[in-house]
Amino acid sequence: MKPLSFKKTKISLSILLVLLLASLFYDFLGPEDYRTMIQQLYDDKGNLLENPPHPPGKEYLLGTDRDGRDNLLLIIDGLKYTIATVIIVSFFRVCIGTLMGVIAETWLPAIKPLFKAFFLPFQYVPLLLIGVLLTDPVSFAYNEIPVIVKVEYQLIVLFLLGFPSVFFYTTDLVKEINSKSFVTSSYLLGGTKLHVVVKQILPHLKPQLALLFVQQVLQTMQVMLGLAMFNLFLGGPDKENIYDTHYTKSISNELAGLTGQNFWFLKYAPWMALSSLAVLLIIFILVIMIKNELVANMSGQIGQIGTKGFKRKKKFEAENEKKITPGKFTQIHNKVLDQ
Amino acid sequence: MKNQLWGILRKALFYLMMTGTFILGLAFFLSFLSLFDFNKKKGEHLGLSFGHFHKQFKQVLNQFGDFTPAGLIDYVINPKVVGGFLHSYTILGISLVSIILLGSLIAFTVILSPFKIRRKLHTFLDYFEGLPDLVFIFAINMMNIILLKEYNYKIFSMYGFGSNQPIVFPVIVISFLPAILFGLFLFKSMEDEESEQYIQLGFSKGLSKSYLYSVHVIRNILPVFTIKFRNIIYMLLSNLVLVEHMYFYENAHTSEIIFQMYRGTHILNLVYSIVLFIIPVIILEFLIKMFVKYTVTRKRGEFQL
Repeated sequence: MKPLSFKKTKISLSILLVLLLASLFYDFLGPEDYRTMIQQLYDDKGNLLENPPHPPGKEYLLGTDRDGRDNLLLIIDGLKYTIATVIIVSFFRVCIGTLMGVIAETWLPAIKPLFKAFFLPFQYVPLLLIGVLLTDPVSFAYNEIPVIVKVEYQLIVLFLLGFPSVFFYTTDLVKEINSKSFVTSSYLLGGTKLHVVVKQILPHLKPQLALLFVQQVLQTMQVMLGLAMFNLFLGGPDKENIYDTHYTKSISNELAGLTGQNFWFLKYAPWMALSSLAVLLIIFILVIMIKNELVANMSGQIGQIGTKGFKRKKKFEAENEKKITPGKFTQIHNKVLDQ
Repeated sequence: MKNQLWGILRKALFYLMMTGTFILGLAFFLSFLSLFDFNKKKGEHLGLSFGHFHKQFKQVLNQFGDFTPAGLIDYVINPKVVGGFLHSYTILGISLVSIILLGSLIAFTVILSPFKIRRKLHTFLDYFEGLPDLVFIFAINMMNIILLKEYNYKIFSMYGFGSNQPIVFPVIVISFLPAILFGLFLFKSMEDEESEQYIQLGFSKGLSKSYLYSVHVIRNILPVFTIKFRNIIYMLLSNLVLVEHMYFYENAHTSEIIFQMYRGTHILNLVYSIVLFIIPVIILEFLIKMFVKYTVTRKRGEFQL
């Protein structure tokens, strides 16, 4: 059996780790804080040099926002919140959803229909709409709720949005594993339910959990981006007027929030929204690369083109070509048909 | 006879329990916010508030008790609601047709292309699965802005201020990614079916690739594919919510839902607006299921699926 390749996963994770570390160390090692940049808008006599936002250039690689803050620094600062939120939410969804799914399917199968009925709105109503309904009263601008309390509540809502899907995915998976002959044999030999879960189900569930986690990461990022379009930012909006502009802006500078807050200025200063969106897109592509590699490895296929050796690729293509070309229809299939 | 009656009674009890749980679930989520105590000072953490939740939960259930068929009909025949619903579903309907046409075109182009190209196209299309729709909404929006700025040429109007109710723009932006995903899912389903023996038999009998895929494979993958198609329909709904809000479509059903969320006086109006939004999709899903059941599953048997 050929060893599984995780080349793309390793590369993607390394890039994500570098981005996270850059963001984490920004406060200690990075350039001067972006909030002090307002002084650069004025000359020594206090006269305004030029109205922000400034387009990308030598001085500001990704331009500035409406408050004259460097977009690049804002993005570096906000990255850690995006990555942390997505990882925390996905981790808890997978852990709690899987645990409850295994327990429900193994010990309490009767509660499954009740659970389904309870979470029925999550199956039919768009998650974005539920997200807006649940987070809007907390995230909107005019309340005195502390930022940490808002973040905690938003994390709970984000967790809740994906929890039913993880739960039902796990119950389906456990049901499928339970129907295998080795599980039946285990029961027939006197194995307890706990024994079957620990020895038979969990080892088969583990590889699926990695894929589930990655899928949840993608889904969480999508929901966060959607919520940001409703001005529902992680930690709520920043009420502070940095320059003389008044607009709803994210307090955490989280990437989805930066994209959402600047969408309305796409026509006049496209770099503001597009720079954060581009970084988000890079994260999305990196996570999709991990997902695709996991899927390819799980389905036992030889990885995607470009990841394997040329000879092996050629062999794989040739084998598949044989399978589908009418002219090269082999005798083996005839034998099967005769049987 | 006694057993039959007992069976019917058990079934009725089961559905009653399910309906009760569903209503409790709905009331729970509508009062979810009151489960938490937000009245905290700086440095404190989120707390729980069961008393407040209990009160709110009871209030929501009481409001559910106000349900009357006449109230529902009154809400549904409201001209503002009808107008918004028709506009939203015009966009959804056109989008759905575009998705099916464009997606099928993509799937057949990929599956009928030479194997090397097919693998590359498959790898490329795989990257779309998981990408946010907003990327494409931004891209199409930017393209429109650039054309307007550079060439003073406006392809379509984007915003829905006042009486302006664009159709083309929302159809394009909400159906772009779902169409690609439709193509990808259709292609993947056809690819999975390729290993079946009847395909090999078809080839050996000299049937052309395009005939085999468009007539036999499509029919046989329908039961599997409809499960994936469901995801695409709900993705479309989600996109519609986003686009109608982002581009200020005032006379749209989404704005009615948002209005009921923010300024609604009765919880039932919010429930009605959401139900009205999703009910055609549920009916469509049911019809597709029935169609597949009667045209494929019954005729061909489960074993082939």
